[in-house]
Amino acid sequence: MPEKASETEPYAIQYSESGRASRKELPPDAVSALFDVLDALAANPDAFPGRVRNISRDGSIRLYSHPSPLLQVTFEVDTSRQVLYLQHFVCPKVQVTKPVFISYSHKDEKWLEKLKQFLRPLEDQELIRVWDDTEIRAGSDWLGDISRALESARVAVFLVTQNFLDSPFIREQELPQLIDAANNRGCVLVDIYRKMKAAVSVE
Amino acid sequence: MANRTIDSKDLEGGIEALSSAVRAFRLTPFERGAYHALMVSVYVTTWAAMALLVLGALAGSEGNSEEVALIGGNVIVGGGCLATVALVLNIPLASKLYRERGRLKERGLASLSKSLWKERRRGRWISVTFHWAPAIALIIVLLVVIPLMIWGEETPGEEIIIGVLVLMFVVVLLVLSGYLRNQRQRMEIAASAEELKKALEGLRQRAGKSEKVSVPSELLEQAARIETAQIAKERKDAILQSVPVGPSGYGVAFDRAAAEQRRMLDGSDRVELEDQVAQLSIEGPDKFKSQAGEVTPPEGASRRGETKSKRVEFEYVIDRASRGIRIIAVRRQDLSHSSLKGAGHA
Repeated sequence: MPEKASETEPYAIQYSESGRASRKELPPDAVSALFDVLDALAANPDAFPGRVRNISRDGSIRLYSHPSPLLQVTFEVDTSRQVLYLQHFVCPKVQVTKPVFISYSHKDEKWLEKLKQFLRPLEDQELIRVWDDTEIRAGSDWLGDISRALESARVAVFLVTQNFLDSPFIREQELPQLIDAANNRGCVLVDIYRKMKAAVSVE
Repeated sequence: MANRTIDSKDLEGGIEALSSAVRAFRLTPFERGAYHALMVSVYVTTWAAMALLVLGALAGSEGNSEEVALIGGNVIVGGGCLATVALVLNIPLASKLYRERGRLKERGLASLSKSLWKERRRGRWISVTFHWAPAIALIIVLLVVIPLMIWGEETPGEEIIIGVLVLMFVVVLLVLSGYLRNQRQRMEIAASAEELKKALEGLRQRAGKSEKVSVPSELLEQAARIETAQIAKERKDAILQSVPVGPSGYGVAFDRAAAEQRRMLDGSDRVELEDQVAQLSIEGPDKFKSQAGEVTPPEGASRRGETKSKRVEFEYVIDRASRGIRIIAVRRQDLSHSSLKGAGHA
């Protein structure tokens, strides 16, 4: 696809037979996430640097991993024709990665970003899947989203600051559920302290 | 063992994933039989050769090696004949594996076939040692004996030459059977998947109609590992199948305005539209057009298509030279005004 009208999406989509067949196997919630991902990739195949890893040596065949719902997209980028070949889609049914819930105060967003950056290599290796409330989409049932994330968490990281300790939502909603998860289903609690006036262990 | 409480539908998902793994990794009875025959005969031949070497050395020092050589030789010849037959039976599979690896390597995907088995390889050093130790020992013996035969002062006897040829044959058998070892891993994964599936089905039965089920974490982790291997296999097959699709298919791009119109569609309409995009992309516009029953428009003019339910209509332009299709308009059909209006044209 050498010449494209300037008003056209930068990359065209091309399905393979296995791509078409595997897409039909996806559950509805994954399909909706998939379309958002495909639209973003057609606009820019490098749109998700943290979620895409190269499978082939030359970097043309890539694997996109969506955190929630779990979804993996295998595609090939043909830069000469500006085409994305969609080869395979799958939603793992058994959770391989450990869901990590980050509990933090919104006033400490910059520390959240630093922490996420620190955890990214583990995410790239599919060892963990980080969830924090920035994943909540506009207009969704945010309380339900948080509740589901809390229920599925295998590891909870508390970004403990004075702001964290001052937050009623964390104190009343997140902490009790995560401590319960630690006591009853082996959820691992990790607390990271930052510029605190009073240090309180949550364990 | 720690337990995890999961939704019953997640348990169902796990059982389904394991069923898929069993289907994906199970060998046919012929493949299983041929592989077992090969491995048994290779091991018998190899260990007989090893035993012959050791006993030969011991008996040789007492000057009574003929009996040992006769028994060991017969075992090696018998095992070797059986191994040769089994090897022939495995040739179709070996050549398929060889071609597959070649194609993966060509595409820079060599690590993909290896990573498939990464999970299963952990902790398997005993089995690996058992397989490769005799081969390494025999290779060392050959490395010592062959130079002695070539550069030694005495001309080697006929029995030494035959012995060396037999050892070389055994080493070749071991290497070739090693090439087919992923058959064993496939069998192991299929067997583990079957066993785990039964365990999870038992838990489901015990849970009855309860929405939450307590499952040992270890079981879930094993199930996840098996599913990962199955997904990796599926992905590898999909990539290999997709290789020839590139030049024959069409790339479908949306104009920005059409992309915006697409964004306004509800979930089911978007799914149907994507089905049409996939069809256009794989089958090309000519087959697609004949299905829609439209009269062929002149080259370069826009064409129209619609989704299965006819709720969404779209207009597209074909560029055969670059094997590209531009979707220039998407519209949800108003039943009272079914024609597409105001769409852009090429």
